[in-house]
Amino acid sequence: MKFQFIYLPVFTLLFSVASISHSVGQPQLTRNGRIVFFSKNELENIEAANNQVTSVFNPQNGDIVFMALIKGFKFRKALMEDHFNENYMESNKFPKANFKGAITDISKINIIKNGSYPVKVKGELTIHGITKSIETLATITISGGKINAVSKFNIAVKDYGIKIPKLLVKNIAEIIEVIVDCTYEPLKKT
Amino acid sequence: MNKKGIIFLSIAIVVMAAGIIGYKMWNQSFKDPLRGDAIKVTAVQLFNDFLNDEIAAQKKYVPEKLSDKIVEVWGEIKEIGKNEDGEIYYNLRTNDEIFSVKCVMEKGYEIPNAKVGDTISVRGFCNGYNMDVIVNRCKV
Repeated sequence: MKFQFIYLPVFTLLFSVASISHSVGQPQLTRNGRIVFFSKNELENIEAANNQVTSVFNPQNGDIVFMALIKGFKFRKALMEDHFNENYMESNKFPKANFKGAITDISKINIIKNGSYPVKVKGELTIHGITKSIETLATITISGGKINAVSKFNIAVKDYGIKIPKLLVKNIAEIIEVIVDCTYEPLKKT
Repeated sequence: MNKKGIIFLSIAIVVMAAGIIGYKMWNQSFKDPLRGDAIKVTAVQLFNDFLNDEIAAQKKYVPEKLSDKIVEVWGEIKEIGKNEDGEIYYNLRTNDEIFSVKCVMEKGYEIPNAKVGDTISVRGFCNGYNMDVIVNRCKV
């Protein structure tokens, strides 16, 4: 196997040993996480969603990673999807976006008590081959033994080296709104 | 028709043709995975190919230009689910204890009465490896 270090944080989190017997205390996994982004501009609003985001969250120390395939974002129009992959994201060259970080105030969350907990998330986001530190707010909801994480933040396309042709500056926003929504389950092998 | 009229008519025809081409391009539909040749592979093989050499597997299975490679993948259903956009997906069994080949179906192309343990074959477009191997816009 040609090991790629992009997967190291995922493997590390997946195989970390849980010392808490309660299931929500174990490493949590989703392979059906959702990332939606919105570009709102004068001429048109563009929206795309990816429902196959992999994410691992360790509720004990707050470590959290996300991984999304760029080609997994679905658009309303085939041409939009084509331009997104070929012209802007260069998805053959940079097939993935990923985030590696942690909830910095994990002690605020009581993992065995149902509730909604506003938290801070800090880490490194890699898009289009460029890694930037980001800090944002998120909400962790614990309900019926399941953990849900939602975060909404903005990214500037120029920060990630994504070039918008002058002809299209009125079509594509310079600031993209991103919503991440993941519902986790305790890691289980089948 | 005088010279000015011919020029005006020619320009009008070019503008109309450009408009029609632009409109058709803007509204072009997504490629149908049921049309054209497909790379036939088992879910186990597809997953192993990505695990063994992701870059080579990417070149082999993932479309470089939009939808220019179709994969036909078959295997045993390990899990059936529905995502937030209401699309049904079938996770096909691999040799991995956790991860699968995830086949996300186009709405209206789900397999009637499919259940865990059934062997199925679907056609779609491979997005790559994300711990799972993702095959999207699948049809049967």
